[in-house]
Amino acid sequence: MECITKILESVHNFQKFIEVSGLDLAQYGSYLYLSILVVVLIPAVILGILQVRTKYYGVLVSAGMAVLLIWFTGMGMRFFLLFLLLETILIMSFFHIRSKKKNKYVYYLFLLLSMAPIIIYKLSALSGFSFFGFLGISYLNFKAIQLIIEIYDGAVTKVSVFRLLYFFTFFPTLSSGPIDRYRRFDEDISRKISRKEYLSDYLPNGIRKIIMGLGYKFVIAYLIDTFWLTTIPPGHTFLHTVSYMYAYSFFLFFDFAGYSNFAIGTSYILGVKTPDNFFLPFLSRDIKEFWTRWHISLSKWFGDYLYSRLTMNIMRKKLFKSRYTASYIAQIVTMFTMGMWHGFEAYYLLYGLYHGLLLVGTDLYVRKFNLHKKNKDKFTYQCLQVFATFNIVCFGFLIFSGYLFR
Amino acid sequence: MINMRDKVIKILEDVCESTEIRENPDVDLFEAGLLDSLATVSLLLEIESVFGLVLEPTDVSRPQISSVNNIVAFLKSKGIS
Repeated sequence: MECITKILESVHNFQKFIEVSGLDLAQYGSYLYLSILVVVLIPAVILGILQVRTKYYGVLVSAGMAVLLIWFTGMGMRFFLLFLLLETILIMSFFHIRSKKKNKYVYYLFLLLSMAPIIIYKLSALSGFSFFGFLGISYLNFKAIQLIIEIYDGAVTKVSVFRLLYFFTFFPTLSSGPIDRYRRFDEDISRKISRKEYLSDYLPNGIRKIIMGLGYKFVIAYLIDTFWLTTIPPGHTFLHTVSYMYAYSFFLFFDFAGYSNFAIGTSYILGVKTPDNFFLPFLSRDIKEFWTRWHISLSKWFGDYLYSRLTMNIMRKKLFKSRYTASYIAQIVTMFTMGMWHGFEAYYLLYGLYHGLLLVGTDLYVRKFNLHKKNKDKFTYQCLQVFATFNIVCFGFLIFSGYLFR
Repeated sequence: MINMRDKVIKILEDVCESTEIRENPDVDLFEAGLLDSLATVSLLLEIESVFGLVLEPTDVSRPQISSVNNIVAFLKSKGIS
């Protein structure tokens, strides 16, 4: 007992120290974190070269990182642990039940329970009294929901508490993804990686991604923020708003894509090929293509677990004559839900609705307009498409930023 | 008696709204822009009604359904002939 009190006391002192000294521990966002990262990755590289599986080391470091990033910085360690406990119990017991019997209503119940943390958190945030929040909750909850769904499908046929906890706490993607899938992650950590493969693929590609992350986030995003975004004077004149729209869009991309590259690169060094998150999104020719290039792990998640399933269910029930109607409804519901996932603030909901309607509009345009059909293979027309899509997307980010509501 | 390959081609011609599939059974349907998310969903539903095999979107990986030949191989692996 005395020992625990002492530990808690020293953590409390450390929290105070961080607060007073102004130390920044933001994941991939501060030089302090990056220095710690380098120290932590050196043993991982040695293990990789020695052809030793890094999962035990990975679990150890992830636990340490959780303490550093969540506990020491006061980002809701209690809720983080409660979340892990709750979701692990839910997933393990649902796995047990499902292996005996497939019952739709039990599934719905577990699905709802697995979503409870994020729903409670987002609702409470709206009321101003934030409850159940911790660093990364929005991203971690996707992993839990996905497991319940795939266990019900019969796709996930083995789960262990150890692997589950590693999947949840895997530190490179802790705070903001990319959102991985259990079966994929499980395969990765079970693989034996040869020295040759580690040295020719995992390590160099990991380092390359980390360097890209450094360039995107610490150079480009930093410059945009310092010399453009934060220099826009207050007052919502037309010119300020337009300037803010582009500055914010570029900043968001370089900051988030930079973060993602860091997370992916770090994962590679630990022997896990976390999926990519961005692929030249501002060169998309239409909104549909944009969502295959922007925040890919999120849009794929919504595509697989909400849009496709909803469309299939509507079509199975034959509620509408045209399959396109089913798809349109599913698209709007999916994008609106994506908006809600960001938060229940009006501008997030509007952002979701905006993209839902854009997807429907894009489909109608591509299928119905002769102008498009005649010109779609012409280079000039394609350039115009990219330009138009870029501006439509930036306007979306302007809504998303909340600037218009301030 | 129509064989399974012909049924698959018929389904794909419907869901992709294209007739060029029969000519090249190895063409990558995703890269050719023929299979988007809605067409994929329709394909799964057609497989369900024609072959009685219920598939969720995450039960199949992209390579498994990326061409006529791959789909035929995938269905065979599920015991359909």
